[in-house]
Amino acid sequence: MEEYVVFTLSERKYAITLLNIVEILLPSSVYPIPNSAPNVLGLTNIRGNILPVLDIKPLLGEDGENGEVNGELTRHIWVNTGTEDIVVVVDKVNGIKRVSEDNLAEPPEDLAAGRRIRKVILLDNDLILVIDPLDLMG
Amino acid sequence: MNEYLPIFLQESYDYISLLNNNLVLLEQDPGNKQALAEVFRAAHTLKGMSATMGFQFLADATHQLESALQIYRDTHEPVDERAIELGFRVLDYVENQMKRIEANEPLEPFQENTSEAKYESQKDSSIYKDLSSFSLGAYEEEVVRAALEQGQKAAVLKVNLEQGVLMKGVRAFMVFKAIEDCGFEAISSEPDAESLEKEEFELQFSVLVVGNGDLESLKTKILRIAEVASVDVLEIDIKEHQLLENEPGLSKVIENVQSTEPGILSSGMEMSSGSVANVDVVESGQQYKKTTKNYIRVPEEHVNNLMSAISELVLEKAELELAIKTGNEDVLWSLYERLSRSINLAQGEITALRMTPLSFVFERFPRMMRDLSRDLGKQVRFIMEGGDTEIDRTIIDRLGDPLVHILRNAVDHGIERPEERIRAGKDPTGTVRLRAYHEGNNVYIVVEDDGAGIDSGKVLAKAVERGLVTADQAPLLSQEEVFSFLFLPGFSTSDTVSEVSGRGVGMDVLKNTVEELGGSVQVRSVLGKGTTVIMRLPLTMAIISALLVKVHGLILALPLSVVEEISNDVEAVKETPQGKVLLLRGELLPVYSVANLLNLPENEQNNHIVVIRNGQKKAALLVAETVGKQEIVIKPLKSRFVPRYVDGATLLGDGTISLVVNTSMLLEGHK
Repeated sequence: MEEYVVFTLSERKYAITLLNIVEILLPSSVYPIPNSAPNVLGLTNIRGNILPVLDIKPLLGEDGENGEVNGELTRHIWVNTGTEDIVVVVDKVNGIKRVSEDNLAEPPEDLAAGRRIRKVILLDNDLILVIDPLDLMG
Repeated sequence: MNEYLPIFLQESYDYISLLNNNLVLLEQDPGNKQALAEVFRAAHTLKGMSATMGFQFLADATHQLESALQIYRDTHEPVDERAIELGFRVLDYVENQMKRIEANEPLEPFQENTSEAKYESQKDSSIYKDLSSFSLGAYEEEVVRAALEQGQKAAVLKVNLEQGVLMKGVRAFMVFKAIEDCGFEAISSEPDAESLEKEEFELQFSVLVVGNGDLESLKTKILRIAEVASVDVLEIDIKEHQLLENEPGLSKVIENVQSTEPGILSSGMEMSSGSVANVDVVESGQQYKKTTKNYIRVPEEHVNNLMSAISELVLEKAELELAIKTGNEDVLWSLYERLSRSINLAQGEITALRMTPLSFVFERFPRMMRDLSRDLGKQVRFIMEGGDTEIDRTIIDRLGDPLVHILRNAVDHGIERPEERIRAGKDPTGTVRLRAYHEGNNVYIVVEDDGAGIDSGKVLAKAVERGLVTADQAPLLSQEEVFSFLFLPGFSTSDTVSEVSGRGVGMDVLKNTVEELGGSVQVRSVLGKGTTVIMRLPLTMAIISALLVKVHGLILALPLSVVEEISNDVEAVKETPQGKVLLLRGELLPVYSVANLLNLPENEQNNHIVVIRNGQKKAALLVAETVGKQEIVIKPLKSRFVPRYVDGATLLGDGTISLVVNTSMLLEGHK
């Protein structure tokens, strides 16, 4: 059994293992960094920790305007990728799910390509795409 | 005298807090002999220092404190509340006067009242009858006693000048000189030295002297001074002194004189003898200048280590010169290694010098908490732990106000009134604990109370009401998230919350201060059980001076070390086929628009010029606005998502994140 944080990006559900999640937060101010990569929205201050805020949609091949972060359910997820701390913006946090090995599957070839999907969770007729946080590092 | 004043002030403030803290201890436990002894030691040193500096009012007031407590030291009886109250009043008085000294204002005498009547009667009986024209202050009396005890002589000289004397001040000065030459010290005079210097006296003045010299030859010497008409020498003899000794406790006072370790100041001043206090003022005639310098006291060890690291560096510099001439690369590399080592050593020591124990801010809290709980009618046990935890000076300096704020909240809103506590089944005396400790690269400061706690439900309701969170989302928030609302500006100034918890007035300021220092703050609370505020602060900080500039609405920080000058003389910028240049005192500098360098739209007037220097290369940067110079704390940003021109980030006072720009990286590729 492993726990995952499940969230939504452009209507599709994704998951990251809870082990890599530091915190889920209401978005606070994001200060832009000029000349940074297009998917870097800027810096945010979480209790004195200054972290880069990323839009990971382009990375996953999802549509959606860069920086479309104003939805009411929008959350910041503080992720420790193993190499550094980042904040990713998600449209909505669905919750935390306990998933057994049986519900995990290899992703279909066409889905995985270019989308950095490692595994999929098949649960309650839902298809949730699992992201390896290290892959978020570009 | 002037040069000693800042040291005197600093030491005195230290002694005042020491006295305050020990009086608080005494108040809690009137039989605490150690605290009483500490009070005597500190009061005595403070008194000595004040007298040496010529602040007689301070010396007298401090003496009153001693006198009020004297009886308890002799009888070993628990100290009376009124004596402690007098003690606190004396300390408040002295502290106020110190501020007057700092502000270069004249001192006021200590307002005596009934509570020291006991001391007054004792003092009256000890005044020497034949000296009635010369009033012996508390301090003088004691000096005289000590002097007689050591077999020295003490006397009052009454000097009369001739009618029509031209330079009274100079004559007075010559009398003081004669006193010194004859092996005496002038302890005090009437009128005081300042008035003598300003010639604010008729023809007569008196001087109290003690010393080993011969009074008769002193008299002769003074009479030889021109325009001195007569001198009366009134010797204070041993009989009167014995009389004094019959009074209870006086011998103890004298013992105290000899056993007290002199403070830094008093030991330094003793060498130049008590007469300096008077004579020097006459000589210089200067007022204390209102210069405030900060002094830090540091362990000698660090200074020595720093010195040896510097001597290494000097040596290595000489070797480097030689090595460059020979051009031997191996030798150069090994020298480089040695230089790095020495520089690191020096850096480590200088960092260590900046470390200060937290007791520096903690020491004023016991008294504050005592006064606060009295004012609010609460019973509070205040416990401090970890005052010896060291932290960067810059942090210390800014930590005072936030801590005061948290402690106030704890007493004001945390701890309940005794009757409420009893009703809740708690000890009527509440506990506030201030704790500091190291962990990793951080210092934690924790303020804990066992009071009413914060009702998170009410906080949440308020947050929903203010539209900070929707009613559906509210139940999903963690406790921590709920309490984080308390840090929003103005959040709990609203009465619903403050009646229940009261926290939050200024909590946003606290949060900003701590975060600016590179730390974080967190609130935990259990309703009915108490509240804990946890501050995490970095042990040391990379602090630099920076110039804040604005470009396209963004505030950027340029390290002041690269900034040569700023100007808004856009006229001096000329267009050339190769781009813009700035003509600055005959020098042509390339001009870059920062907005342009950062690929930001140039839709505003960028007409402020910042001239920077990267190594040998100078350049002019155009920005929209220069905001000002500021000390900033750099937080390194080691992220692959942050461009190379960003050296780090800093939090400004309002919570804005500002990028710290590495100008040479910024210009790279544009030259």
